[in-house]
Amino acid sequence: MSNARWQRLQQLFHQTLESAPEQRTALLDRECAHDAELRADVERLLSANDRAGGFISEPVIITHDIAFAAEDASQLGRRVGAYRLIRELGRGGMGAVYLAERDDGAFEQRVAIKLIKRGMDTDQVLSRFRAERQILASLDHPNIARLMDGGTTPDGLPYFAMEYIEGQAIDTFAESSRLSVEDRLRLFLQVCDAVAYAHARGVIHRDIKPLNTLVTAAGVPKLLDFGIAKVLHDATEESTATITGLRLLTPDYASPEQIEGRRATVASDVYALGVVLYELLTGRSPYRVSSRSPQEIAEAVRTTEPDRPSTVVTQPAERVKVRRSIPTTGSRASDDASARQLSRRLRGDLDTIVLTALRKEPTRRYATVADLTTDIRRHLESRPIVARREEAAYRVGKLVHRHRTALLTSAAAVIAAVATGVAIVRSRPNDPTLISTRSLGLRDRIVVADFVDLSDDAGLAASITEALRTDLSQSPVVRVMTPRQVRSSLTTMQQSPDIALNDSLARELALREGVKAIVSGNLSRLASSYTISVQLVAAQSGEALAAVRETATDSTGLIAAVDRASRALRQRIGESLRDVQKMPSLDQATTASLPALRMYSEAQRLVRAGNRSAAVEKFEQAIALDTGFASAQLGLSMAYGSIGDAGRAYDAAERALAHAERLPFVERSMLVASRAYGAFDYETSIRAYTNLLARYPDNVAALNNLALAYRGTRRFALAESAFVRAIQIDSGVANFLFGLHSTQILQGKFREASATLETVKRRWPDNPVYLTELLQDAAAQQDWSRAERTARLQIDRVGTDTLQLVDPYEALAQIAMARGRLREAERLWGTQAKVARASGVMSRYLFGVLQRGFLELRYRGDTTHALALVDSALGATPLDSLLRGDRRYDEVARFYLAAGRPERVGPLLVAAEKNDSALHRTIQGERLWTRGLLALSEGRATAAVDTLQMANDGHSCTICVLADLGRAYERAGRLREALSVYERYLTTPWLWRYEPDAVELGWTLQRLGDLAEQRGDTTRAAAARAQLRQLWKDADPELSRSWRVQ
Amino acid sequence: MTDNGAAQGEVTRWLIDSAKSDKEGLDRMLPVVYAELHRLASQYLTRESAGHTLQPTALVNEAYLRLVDQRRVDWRNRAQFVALAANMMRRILVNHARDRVALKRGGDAEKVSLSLLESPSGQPDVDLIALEDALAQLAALDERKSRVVELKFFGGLTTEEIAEVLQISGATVEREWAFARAWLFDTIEGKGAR
Repeated sequence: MSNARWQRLQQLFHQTLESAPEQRTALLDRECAHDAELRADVERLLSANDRAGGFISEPVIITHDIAFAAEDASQLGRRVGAYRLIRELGRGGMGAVYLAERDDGAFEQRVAIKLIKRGMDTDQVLSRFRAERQILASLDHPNIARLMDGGTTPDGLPYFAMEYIEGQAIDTFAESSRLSVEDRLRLFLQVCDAVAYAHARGVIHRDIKPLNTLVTAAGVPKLLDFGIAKVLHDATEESTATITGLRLLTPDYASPEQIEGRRATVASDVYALGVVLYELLTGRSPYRVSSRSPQEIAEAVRTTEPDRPSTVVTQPAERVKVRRSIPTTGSRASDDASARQLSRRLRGDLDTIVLTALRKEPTRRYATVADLTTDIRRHLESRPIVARREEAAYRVGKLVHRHRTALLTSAAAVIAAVATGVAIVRSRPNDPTLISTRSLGLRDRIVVADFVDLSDDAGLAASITEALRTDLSQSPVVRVMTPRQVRSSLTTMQQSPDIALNDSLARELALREGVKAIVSGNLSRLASSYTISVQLVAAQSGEALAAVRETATDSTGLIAAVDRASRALRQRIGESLRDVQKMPSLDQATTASLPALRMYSEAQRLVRAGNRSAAVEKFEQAIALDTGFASAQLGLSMAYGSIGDAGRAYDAAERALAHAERLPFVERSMLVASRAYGAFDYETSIRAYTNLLARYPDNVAALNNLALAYRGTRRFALAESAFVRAIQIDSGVANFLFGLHSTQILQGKFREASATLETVKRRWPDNPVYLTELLQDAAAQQDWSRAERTARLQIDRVGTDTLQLVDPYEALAQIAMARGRLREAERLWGTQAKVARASGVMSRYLFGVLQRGFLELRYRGDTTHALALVDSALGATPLDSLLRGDRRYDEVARFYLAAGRPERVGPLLVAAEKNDSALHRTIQGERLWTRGLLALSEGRATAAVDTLQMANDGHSCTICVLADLGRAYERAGRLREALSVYERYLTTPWLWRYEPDAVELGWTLQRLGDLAEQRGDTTRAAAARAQLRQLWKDADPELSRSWRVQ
Repeated sequence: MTDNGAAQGEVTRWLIDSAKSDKEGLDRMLPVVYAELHRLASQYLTRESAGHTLQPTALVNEAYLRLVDQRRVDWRNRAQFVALAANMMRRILVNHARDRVALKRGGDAEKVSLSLLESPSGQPDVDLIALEDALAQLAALDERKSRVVELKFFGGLTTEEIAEVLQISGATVEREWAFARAWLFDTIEGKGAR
């Protein structure tokens, strides 16, 4: 093809895509009048474009099975270790299993030998095995097949020798023995006990499935392959680090987190047990997939919710994956009567038990196997189970790094979809748009009134309104008033914010707010078909500026109809077709399922009314109906964020991102940006927000988050101006002012900061965050008495919600500690520990223990007691039991360094590195801080200085590293620099000062005084000592005894 | 990662040297990068079990993390690294695919090796080798388009990053991608065409 032709082809391709569908034919007629071949080429490409779907849009490649090499047939008769292989028992993903017997004639012993196939990294496997062998061999339980030996064959294949069990897989056994539900449960309990036994010894199975759960002829269940999956997994993990998607498991029984490549935990075993139980009770697999392809199954496991056992047994066999016959009757086909009977039997507690074990999030399952067995036993004894009660009120835990980072959770949770625009407007001469005729100005505001429903279906109108608003909000040429703004307006108008926004009320609101036009619509119905009419009405004159109408033949076509209506309207307003087409269609951007849309819009309504936990339920329901419903996932994430459960908020946001193509453009960009922010990748998030703001300069949420990201990188001036801009655009959001306040504090602009707080107090006197900000205000200025008073005020205001008591008690404990009131601090830490544990925020509890440990270390010099406290707490609540984002490896490591136990740091750092990933990257500086201290403990003072310098530069906390840096300088003999660093520690503003001050303030003042005196600066020394005396004027007597205070 | 320390320095230095005047540096660096990518890929590809999904971009990213000192580079440098790595990744994977197909002949029931995964919409898999052939054809007609596809699919670069690497506008990148994608789809599907 000639170059000219090639260019022409492209030109036509793009041109046709940009024009309206109905005009394409005319266009092609015109352009290809004399060139039929060219036309054919263009049309083929256009058709390809339409059909391409997801072609190469995801950079993913799948490897198909390279089947097990035929060579293994020749294994029989060969000698492996002390055994000789007799026959093959079966084969699986990792290798084949053979029956073998002892070859040396010493005594009769039959074993099962699992020969691991080629390709597994032998050295790794073996070294892991040797490490694990002690533990595995010590597993001595009647329901666990013993692992006896392991080694390598002469040609290098690793093998494991296990106790040989003859029996049937548990599900086959149950079927052939025609076990009743009760019998199956009792059998299952034995299996659970075995798993629990192993967990108690620190061994996780990782690969529980019926094929690994054999039942002997005597009816004794035996669990196989314990630990082997782990050994192999660990071996491969070491050599391949973080490559995604490594699968050695059977996807049918693997937990969602294992499929995603995360580590298996106790909860993963619980999950697998759940699957086994599901199949035992129903004869069916929890997930229905049309093909048996592993990746489909994996996808289903990760994203779809299993049907309730009681429901699935009544479904016809063709629709579900039937593995075995259903319990009690043994009939394979769905015999109606017995199916119904079984359904009744399973409904309620058994449903709940199974589904609890099968939850996608590990933290929402039974925490231990013992909990699972307890509930089963209770059920068998007709006693109430525990699981259902916990289901209604999720345990929420608060993300903790607050004190170390600049993440104001309240402010950061503003990820609302506020749409504004940058215009790309074309006017078409024959078809003037509203913007080209100036009936509407570019980026004028419009408000969407509630749809009038002439079809009598209550929730439907609300859903349609929601859908329409979502789509219109994506337009860069108009700004749609957000529901929050509408509510705020209604309140000012002395109306209830929940009132229905009909046309006349909308017009009134529009006039009041200076909004140019309203969008008014109605929905009518004739038989099964629906008609949607949408009008754009000028607020002042009442003149109809534009009208569109679309029909749907039945309810399933409604969303598409709304989509068409919205697009037509947007084009009438003045958006180019190409831009309109660039955005995802409505069923993609929201959902194609009307019931799901209803749930979603109901959830949004609940969010606006402030009922967040109910909203969470509704979002979950919407997602259950459409697992790829990214906007609902995003809504869920925001709802979690606003109730303080950042861990779940993060997970939901991840799930939304997994279906990013189904998010409206603005939300998607915001999500990517805020995800980077959440992973402490400030630079990426700054770039992303800036890009978004280039297109949508009035997006206050982006401005707010951009400001926070700037703050995280200590560009305080930029942060301040971003907050100011946000406030200028929308002065009704308290969070922006809080953000501004903290930024002013950080620049030392205390007077301005106070003025900002005054403004907040005037406008939002009851906002609880106000007190928090006030506390920070006092702490930053080291006004301890005021800080204490504020914290106590917070406690008074809180009432019974223990979660909200954690912060103020923590603050009080820190302040007491800083002031040397050690016994009071102990008491307060005790209270903090109590409320933290009661609220389930174990990470905060552990943090408190660490601080308590520092109290012993620094103030009493009692290393033994300090270590005892921390070790005991970590023993009961190991770091690994926390959500990934909450594991404070670095802080614990630094504690051990301070306590003179550097040998414990290595493993912690390894664990921290593993825990980090692109998603959970530790905040910049934390790791360097730890490494710097490590270097210091090893006597490498110069390296320590450099590393700690870098740590300080990269850390969002402005002062936290400085005390240690000062020590490093001292150790390196650079006293002048040490002095200036200590000064900086004392004078640089920081918000949560009481935190580092609790441990370092007194000490730093002391050192400052000493160093100043050494250098002959007696004035400075005296000032420092006076400050110290003032700080510790009410300190415990024991303190003045152990420290030199003049 | 200490044995990578020297390599890391090399690669990082080359990346941040904006003038890119050090040709010898480039020659020293490329084999290091290739070796790393190859190592990662083959570790991955020798694990033979059904239904693996492989993201070449994950491998590229992995190599990037290992080879580059991220404290000293910015997103533009990263984009340049990925641009190089994407090309290498493509060669490695295609070679692997071709090897396996070769093994297949004469051998037993070994199935097709590498194919492409559609985003879960049920569309049929596409053979990597077929894609490679089509991509080569495209390159003969229009080098830049094939490069855009390579950077996006094997490198996982964003529009902005591709624009940076190729020194064209973002809008152009989008247009190139749209057209290239349609053309590739048409070519692979039809197997006929120019």
